[in-house]
Amino acid sequence: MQPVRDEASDVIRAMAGDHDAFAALANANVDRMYALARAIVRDVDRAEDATQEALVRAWRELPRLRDPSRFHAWLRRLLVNACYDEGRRARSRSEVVLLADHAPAIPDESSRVIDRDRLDRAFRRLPLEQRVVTVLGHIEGLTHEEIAATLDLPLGTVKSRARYALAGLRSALEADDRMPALAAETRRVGGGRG
Amino acid sequence: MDRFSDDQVDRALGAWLREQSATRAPARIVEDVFARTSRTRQARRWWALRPLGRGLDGLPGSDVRRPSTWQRASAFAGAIGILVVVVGLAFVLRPGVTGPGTLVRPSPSPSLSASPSATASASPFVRPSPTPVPTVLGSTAARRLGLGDNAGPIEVTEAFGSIWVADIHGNDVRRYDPATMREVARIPARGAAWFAVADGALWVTNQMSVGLTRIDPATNTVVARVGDVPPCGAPVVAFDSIWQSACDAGVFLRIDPATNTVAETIPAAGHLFLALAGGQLVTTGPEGLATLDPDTGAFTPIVSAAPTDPAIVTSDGNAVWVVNASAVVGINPADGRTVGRLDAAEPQAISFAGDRAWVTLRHGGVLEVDRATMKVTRTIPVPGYPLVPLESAGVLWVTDFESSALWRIEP
Repeated sequence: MQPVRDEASDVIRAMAGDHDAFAALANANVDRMYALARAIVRDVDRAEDATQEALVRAWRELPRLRDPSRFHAWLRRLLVNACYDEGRRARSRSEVVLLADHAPAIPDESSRVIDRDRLDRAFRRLPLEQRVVTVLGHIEGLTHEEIAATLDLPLGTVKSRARYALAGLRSALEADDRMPALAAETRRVGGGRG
Repeated sequence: MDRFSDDQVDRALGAWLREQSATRAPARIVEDVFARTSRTRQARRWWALRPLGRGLDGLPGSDVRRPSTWQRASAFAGAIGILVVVVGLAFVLRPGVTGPGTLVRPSPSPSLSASPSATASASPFVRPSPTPVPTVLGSTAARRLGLGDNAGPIEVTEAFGSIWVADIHGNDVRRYDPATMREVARIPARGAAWFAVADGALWVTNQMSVGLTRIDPATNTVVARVGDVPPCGAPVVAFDSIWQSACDAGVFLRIDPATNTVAETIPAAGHLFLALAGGQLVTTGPEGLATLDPDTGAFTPIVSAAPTDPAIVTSDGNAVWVVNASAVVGINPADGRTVGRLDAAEPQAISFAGDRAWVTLRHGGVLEVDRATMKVTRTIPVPGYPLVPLESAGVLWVTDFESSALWRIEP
């Protein structure tokens, strides 16, 4: 049986330049990082690039990590920064590779449905910084205070971004209903600023 | 057409996003990472003078070989050379020795290190201040005061002959002498963020907690805490009251400063922030701009081109200024007309002084803007994350949230 790796000691060893320890950390975290990046940038190629860039930066910056117990929060921040970089690069592009999402609609308590496809289109229209806050809250389960600490943002900024994201999604879903033709166009080319 | 509540959208969004968290990463990501990082691996190991170990089995870049004697000698010589350069730079850049364009990092004073007992104390206390470090930002003289690793300065304001800084992470309000930057008091205030002056007292929002804290400037003590919901944004003093958004609760509070009580709670769904402009209470948020009638609590929409995703709102007395992620827009609340606009990357806040305005940019310094034309006349390269600017008595004060610092700039 493989011995269970102690991640804390891997972090300390990686900080000292141990590439094996870094490899263990990268393997242990890459799936989660990629899932986060995919959810934020909504594009598989950019998600791969952001994940890879964040891990490379992690290796370079590890010696400067002050508190090993903050490794996950620190890595998360590197990933978000890499997603921002990808978002900036993507603004000049007109084509993106859309994520396949053919799952059925999500029922809610009132038996009405919000179609995944519509949700995806609406989510893409949100500014990247609002998507980041939303994803960290829902996928990572972070509180607004924890998101603020992770991103080094004032709490009020995080709260307002979360609030605007929700309001923006609702507006986009409703607008999607009103303009089916525009929605179909958006589906083809990909929407959103990020 | 479907009409969804925020709660329905939030639950559906959460379920949809959590489904995606099971995604597996393509193997090529880690392969490429290992290939890229293995190039720096040997150099780092030599630097640490650590014995080389086993590589990454079966992965590209895992073929670590023991360096030759020549390689070891080169690495050792390089390390000595870098050490000499670092020591030399440290000598040249030591505090008190500055040159044009040189930023000198402050040397933290041991006496300033935050102690738990200090922030938990219920009484004001004065501690030896760290020394502000003189420097030059571009061609502008400035002084930087480090506030300590645990600080998170939000607003800076001038009141009662002092400069006050709200420290959201350190849970305190700090009072400084404006001439010397000497700290003269530190008052506990949970999650301190935004200030107001009313009824002869300084008020600060408890953004990481609930309500507002009232501070007596004569004694530097907390004399009251008012409100039981978390505040959002800056308080506004108008119509003999303090008006405070509490967006988590979806209400505005009207606080009577004479009695230290919440006099009224106004439902305010869709309205996030408040400002006093043109003699009116103006609100912003997803519902757009609106005026709030102080007597009836009724909102009247203002048709305007103001962003509906404001991060902050302020006033120059006549116009309301809305800041979002890409622009600062001034609106006349009387007719909704746009009176000024500045497009910029990640503006944080705007303040006004005479015929100029100051705009902070995240990682972009502080802009001096001509109010008449809204053209940038100068960029002061304040490093870090300049957050709130304040010009008072010819001095520009700026909080740096990321680096936990207060800047005193002489524009």
